[in-house]
Amino acid sequence: MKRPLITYLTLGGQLLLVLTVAGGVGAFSIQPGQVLQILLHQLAMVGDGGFSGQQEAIVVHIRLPRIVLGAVVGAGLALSGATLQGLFRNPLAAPGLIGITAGSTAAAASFIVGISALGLALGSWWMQYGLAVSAFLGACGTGLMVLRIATFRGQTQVTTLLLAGVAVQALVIAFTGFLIFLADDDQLRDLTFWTMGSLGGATWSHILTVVPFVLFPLVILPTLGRVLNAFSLGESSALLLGIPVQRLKITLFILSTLAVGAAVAVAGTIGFVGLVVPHLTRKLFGADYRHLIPLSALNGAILLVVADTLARTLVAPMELPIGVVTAIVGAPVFLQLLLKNRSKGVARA
Amino acid sequence: MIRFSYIDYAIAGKSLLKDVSGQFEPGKLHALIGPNGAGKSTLLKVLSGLVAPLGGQVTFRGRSLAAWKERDLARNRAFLEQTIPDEVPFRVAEIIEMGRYPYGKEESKALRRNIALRLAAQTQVEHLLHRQWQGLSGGERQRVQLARVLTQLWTPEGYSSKVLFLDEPLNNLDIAFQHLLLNIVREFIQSGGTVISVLHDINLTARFADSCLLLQNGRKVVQGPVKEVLVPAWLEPVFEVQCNQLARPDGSFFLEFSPLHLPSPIPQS
Repeated sequence: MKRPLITYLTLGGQLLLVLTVAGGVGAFSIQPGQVLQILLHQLAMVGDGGFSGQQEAIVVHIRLPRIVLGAVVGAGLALSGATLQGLFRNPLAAPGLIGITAGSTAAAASFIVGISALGLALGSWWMQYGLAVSAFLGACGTGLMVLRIATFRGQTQVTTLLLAGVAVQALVIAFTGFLIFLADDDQLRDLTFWTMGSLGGATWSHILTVVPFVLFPLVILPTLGRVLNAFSLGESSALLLGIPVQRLKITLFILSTLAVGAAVAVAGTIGFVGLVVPHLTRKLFGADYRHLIPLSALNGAILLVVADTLARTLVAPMELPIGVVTAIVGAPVFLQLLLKNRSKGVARA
Repeated sequence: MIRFSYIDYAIAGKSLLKDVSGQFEPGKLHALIGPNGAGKSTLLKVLSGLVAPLGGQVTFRGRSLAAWKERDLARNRAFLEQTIPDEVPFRVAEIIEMGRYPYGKEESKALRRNIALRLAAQTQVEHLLHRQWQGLSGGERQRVQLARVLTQLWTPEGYSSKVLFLDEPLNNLDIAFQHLLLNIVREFIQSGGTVISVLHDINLTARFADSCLLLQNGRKVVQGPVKEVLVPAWLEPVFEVQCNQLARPDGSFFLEFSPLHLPSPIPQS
């Protein structure tokens, strides 16, 4: 990449633009300019005019939490996808492929079914938090289990890691299936919506709980960019260059699990962002991990905010599950990428 | 420079190295030779610290390999591997510069680029610097990797006390580039370095190497100067071939091989 700064500024500007437009779109339409004024007013306490109290309340308390949560979740999913693709040196690696997402679904299902089996009736706040915490623990638990299986005598085999992920995923999906079998209609509905993902009902406290888990990897991972670059030469080459490969693998795996776990916990399973966004980012801006990870995060944030805005406006006053929107957008884009690569592969062979 | 004693190594119960001991003196090209499956590449991996032996010890400059810090070791020895992944999403210039990784951020970008450029010129890949790895031929890749491992060891004062491990470095190279590579290796040695290389071509070994270590079935058969090891008495039983040593007018020699068991002619019906 020739001018990183310009790329960052452009994407940052795009994110800001998307945030502002998304803040204005909805049943109660607000001009983007007014949204910007409200934002400035909130952030810096400048400029009081140009918008009503009602508009301010809608933007600050209803739309903005959801939009910001979307940005954070999108960033988390995309950066962890980029990291996992680097770790596995495989462009198909994604959070969904190594069991983390399935693990969080199983934990969320256990929570939904378990609570009513125990005869507990929790308030919606407790329900939501309990669900988030169990999903996070489910993601981390599955991640650690996969890591343990693939680690032998202090060495983690990357291929085994991928295969163990697939196997563990099959197991936890079976377990989720069993819970679905046990569930009654209400539980089933809760579960179905959870698995399709949603940013609805977002609050600022939601955001505060998830931000550290995304921000921490987002700050640490780009510092490992040069190492990840060298890692693409293969594990033994990396070792010969003096890279502490085992420590690197564990760090990458744990950081991406944290980011995915947190994202899934607050938003349910949202597919394709972790897979497609790093791909697109690589195509557009190159494979240098020093930039790929933060740029993927930015693109993921933009994409998810756009997808969520579509989800809540396309069939208003109803809402599409966001997972459906990302899959409808993501799958064709991904297929197109595959088709393009296929023709390249033929040319090379 | 490198001493190794009683090296044992096995994978999945199959013994690949058994009680191998010896040493490599500085300032020479040491060739590891032997038939397929003799343990040459495995010995190279053990000596470079890429894998830890199951038994025995390797010392590098008088210090046990295990006591070296990864980064220090990386500044003092490099390894040209036989296989490199097909998909490395970087340009040749970036790949060569990766060789400077062990020197951290204290080294300026300009210096890194300069070193990479210099070695790209030496290995004749300058014209490929902006190409993607995926589009390169096998021989081009081999030369780029050579530039990268040399970049890893380069100092302004030469390669004094650096060690370069080469695993079948002549793979994929045409005759001209085979000689280019071996001449680069000789220059490396002249400026203070030591090279340990797996070689298959006995005649190029005879011409360029200083000493040979002959392996068979994971055991050392003999180690010594080229002239003493590359003789029919050692080579014939190990390689199961018939072999003649022939002298050139300048005093050097070459070898001629023919199979011990000629394939029986196809019966005509």
